[in-house]
This record gives sequence, structure tokens and C-alpha cells, in this order.
Amino acid sequence: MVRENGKLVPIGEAARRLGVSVDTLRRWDTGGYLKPTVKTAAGYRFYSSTKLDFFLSDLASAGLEWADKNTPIQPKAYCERSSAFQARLDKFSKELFEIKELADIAPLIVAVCGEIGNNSFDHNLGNWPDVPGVYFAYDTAKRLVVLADRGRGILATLRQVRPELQTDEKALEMAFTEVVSGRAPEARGNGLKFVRRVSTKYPIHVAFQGGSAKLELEQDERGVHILQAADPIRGCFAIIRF
Amino acid sequence: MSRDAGREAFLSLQSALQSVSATELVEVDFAGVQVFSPSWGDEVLGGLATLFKDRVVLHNTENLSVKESLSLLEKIHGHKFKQA
Repeated sequence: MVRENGKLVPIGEAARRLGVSVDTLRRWDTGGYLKPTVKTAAGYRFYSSTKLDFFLSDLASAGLEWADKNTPIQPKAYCERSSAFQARLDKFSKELFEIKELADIAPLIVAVCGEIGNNSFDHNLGNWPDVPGVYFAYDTAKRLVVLADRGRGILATLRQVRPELQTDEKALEMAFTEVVSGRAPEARGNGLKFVRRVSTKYPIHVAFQGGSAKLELEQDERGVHILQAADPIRGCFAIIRF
Repeated sequence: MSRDAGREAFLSLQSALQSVSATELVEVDFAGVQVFSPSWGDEVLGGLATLFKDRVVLHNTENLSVKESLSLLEKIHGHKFKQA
């Protein structure tokens, strides 16, 4: 058998390493999401070890693809309900608190991830257009967190309280800058202001996309610069680096 | 961490809060808190500030997530929390 990209592993081992079932890998092959490196005439699938490693490490593109096209994702990164998200956030928190050099900002990183993820649930409860929940992948060694949802998006959510809003750009700007005072009309909506406050004050870089608009926030940055996203999505997508 | 969890926490405090006299302080101690979020805090501290105003006193707010959340909550509620 020709071996390319290093060691080839059979479908059973590939499934175990990715944390999915063999049937799921067969579906991913049929759907073109993850093709085996070699497929024998008898139909046996073999996967390059290097390719599997790359697949596992490619958290951001998997999240964006899911937010855009509902492509398959690693089951452990999918939090269908808020309770599953809280449990995964706790696990992430424990791993993060073990990294000594992040001791000061670890509470802020967890709070930022919590605000973005909880926002998805709070703003889409009972209104998910198709797939409920949040994609929450992280790699503490790479100092990376990726969050995504297939919700209604920032514009549709904010239009409930600001019907005059017309564009994703304006909605994103408002979400990150305008503090909603008091508890009316509804007690929510300031989580992303916290994200901005923290990411412009501490070494926590946040890239956030809502619909066709995106922004990047980093330490010492003044103002909010909204850009046009190359690949519009309906929901939200965030990459947090620290 | 979540707003829902904060709402539940505030509800669970109700019976204890009803016994607070008109002159008593309501002291909130953050010692041992690892992560604090503004959404959870909005429900709990925002609720306490509405009920007890300047009689709410906060202790051990050094954790950065506590400090930054408080700063945002003070802006949202237009209320400066007293710190011990």
C-alpha cells in the first residue's frame, strides 16, 4: 500500500482519535468533509495520521465551516444546551488555571468565553433557526478558543430593542459599544461590552464576526473598527487568543 | 457564570434578604471566587443594589474578573459599589 503523509491508520483507529463513530467517518467521506487518504478496491478506508492531527488542530476553520454550512464537528466541541456549555467552560477553566503564567488573566479569559457563549444561548432561546447550541473548541497549549453559533445573529437580536437598525455593521458596533443602562427593556445585552473592555486592556485578542461584519479587539486599541467579512454567516463566530 | 444562574442565585437569596433590617449592611465577600462574570453579577449585585443601595458592601474584589465586571456593572446601574 502506498503511504503518503506518514503513517496510515484504519477507520476504527481514526474514529477513536477523532472521538466520533466509524459510521460518522463514513458519512464524512460521502459528504466530502473528511476523505480517507486511501480507499482500497474493497472499500476499506485508511487515514493519514498527519491529516488527522491537522484536522484536530484546525479548530477555527471547523467552527467557521459549521457556523456557515452546518458541516460536521467534533462531538465534544458541540454544546447543544447551556448546561453542556457550562460544564465545558468549567473543564476549560480548570485547564487554564493550571498554566502559571496566565494566573492573573485566566479569570478574565474564562469570563470572556462565558459571556460570548452565554450570549448565544440567552439570545436564541426558543428561536434557534435550525441547529441549537454552541461550538466551543479550545487548545490551551496553542492559547486558542473558538466559539460559534448558528443562531439568529446580532442584527436580528438587537432589532427587537432597536427596530431602526439596518446593517450587520451597525448592529455589531452597537453590541460592542453601547451600554444598555438599567434593567429595561430587558436585563441583558452588556456581555460584549465586557469583552471589549477586557480585550483592549489585557493581552486577550478577540476576533468576532456577526453576519457580514467583523471586528478585532486587542490591547491598547482605541475605538471599534468594523470590517466587511469575506464569508458572511447568519450567527456568530469568535476566536479568542491569549 | 450565566445570567440564568445569577437569576437563580438571587432568587435563592430572597428569604435571607427579607430578614435584613432597615439599617443592616449587606456584605458580599469575593474571597475564593475564581471567575466572576458581568451577566451573573448583573442579576445578583444589580438586584442587591436596587434593594439595598449604599448598604451593599463588597469585600476582597482583587480578582481581575471581579474588578472588571464591577466596573461595567457600576456603569450600567449608575451605582458605585462600596468596597471595604
